[in-house]
Amino acid sequence: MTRALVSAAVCPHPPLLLRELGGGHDSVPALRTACGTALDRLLCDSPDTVVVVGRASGTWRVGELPAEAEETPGSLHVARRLLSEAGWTGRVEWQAIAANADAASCDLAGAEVATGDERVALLVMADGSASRTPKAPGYFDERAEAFDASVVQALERGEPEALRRLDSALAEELLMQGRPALHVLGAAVHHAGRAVAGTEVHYVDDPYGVLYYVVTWTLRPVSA
Amino acid sequence: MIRLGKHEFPATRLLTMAIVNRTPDSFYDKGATWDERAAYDRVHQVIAEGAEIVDIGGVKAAPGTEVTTAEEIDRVVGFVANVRATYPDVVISVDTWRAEVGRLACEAGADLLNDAWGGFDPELARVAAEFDVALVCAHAGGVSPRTRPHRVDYPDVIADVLARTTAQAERAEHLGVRPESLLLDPAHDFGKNTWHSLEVTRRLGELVATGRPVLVSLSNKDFVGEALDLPVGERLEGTLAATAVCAWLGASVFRVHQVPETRRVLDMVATIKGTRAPARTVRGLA
Repeated sequence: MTRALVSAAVCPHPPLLLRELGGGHDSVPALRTACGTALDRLLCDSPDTVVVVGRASGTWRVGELPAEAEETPGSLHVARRLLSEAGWTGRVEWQAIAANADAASCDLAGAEVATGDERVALLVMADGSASRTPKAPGYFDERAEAFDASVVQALERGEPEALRRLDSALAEELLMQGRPALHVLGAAVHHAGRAVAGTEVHYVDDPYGVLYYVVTWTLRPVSA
Repeated sequence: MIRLGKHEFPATRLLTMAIVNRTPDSFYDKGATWDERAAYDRVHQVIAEGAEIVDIGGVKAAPGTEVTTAEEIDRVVGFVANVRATYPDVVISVDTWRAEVGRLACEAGADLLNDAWGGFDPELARVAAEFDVALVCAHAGGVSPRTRPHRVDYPDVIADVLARTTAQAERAEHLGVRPESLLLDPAHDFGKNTWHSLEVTRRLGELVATGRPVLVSLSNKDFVGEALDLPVGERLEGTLAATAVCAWLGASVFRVHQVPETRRVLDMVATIKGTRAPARTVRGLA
């Protein structure tokens, strides 16, 4: 039995999206607005369940989120905040994916996400490289721009299969934290037998040397 | 909560009180704002720099040419009225020990009577009560206004500061001044040698522990100069270090010559304490 994946949203998970960590001045107002728009799109068809996919270090696994913020992987903590700010009170399933998960593990996680019988919206917490400028956390790496551009292109064009072929070694070198979650997105769409019916890009920018993208997909059955 | 006349501030807020001298002979500015136009310029400047309070004084603290009550009124009261008309939202303090001056200043719109000489004129507290304004209860060690300390001695300087300032505050409260409008000032250098002022700084927490808001007046004073062996014009860093220590120990109001530098120090201390959010935090969080 495969779930009806109706929509997906990709949002980054910088701690700066937790407003209280940014100090008196909001350093990411445009990104915050874009994430709000993306969540509205994601939830507008009233899915039965929102599945959140985000990276986690160590052995953190699917299940209920701990109440304490410090015990929650950062990506899922930001996702919880975005859902709360969007007013979502329905069911949420949390799918953590290891930061170093290989392609097979990501495919497996994607298949798990696709298994079930409800109408599901997928919130994928992923951002691009952190090596885009001399001031970036990972300093400047000339390979970052082309690598990020390939990901942005796959998101813009709605190409889930491309997300399953990301170079994990290069992603690691460029401090790209979103690679495993994006792979799970590609695999989940594949295993659920869905195709991308429409894409909307709400934000692509790197104000602090880390590439953030906010994109929503509407999904349809492959056969339709 | 601190209430200064009509103005209320949260207890955790650190306030800057900018000194505006209507004197020809004060120790730091040496008459720079004696000219009325220069004094207005100073008011405009310190308010633009973020001072919440302007402290207008017509008599220099140190000994010197006598300034009669009439002369002090002439220097201060009209100026207060004009500043009030221009800045309805700024707190106006008047630095005086004389009740007669205080009364006319309150009628002209003052919010705070800064009595640096420890209640020398007992009527001043009645004026504060009558006009519902705030009052500074300072420790001058029982000396007369405009005198210098000469071989003063205390068995325990902080005990004396606590006893004299809280007695003034209790009396003022009894006369009808609101408790949240009574500030304690240990009055660095007033009736004190440098050892006394250093000890008062080090043990300021004992004054804060009374629960009353504490004002400190540290700016460019002799205890800073003697600590660092520096003349009046070179005491900024020492003043700011003392400011940071007093802010950390819980002082609320800082009477100063240099507003922007003080404001930055107070903001930084408040941010370390956690009573003020950092302006913006991106490092490591992007």
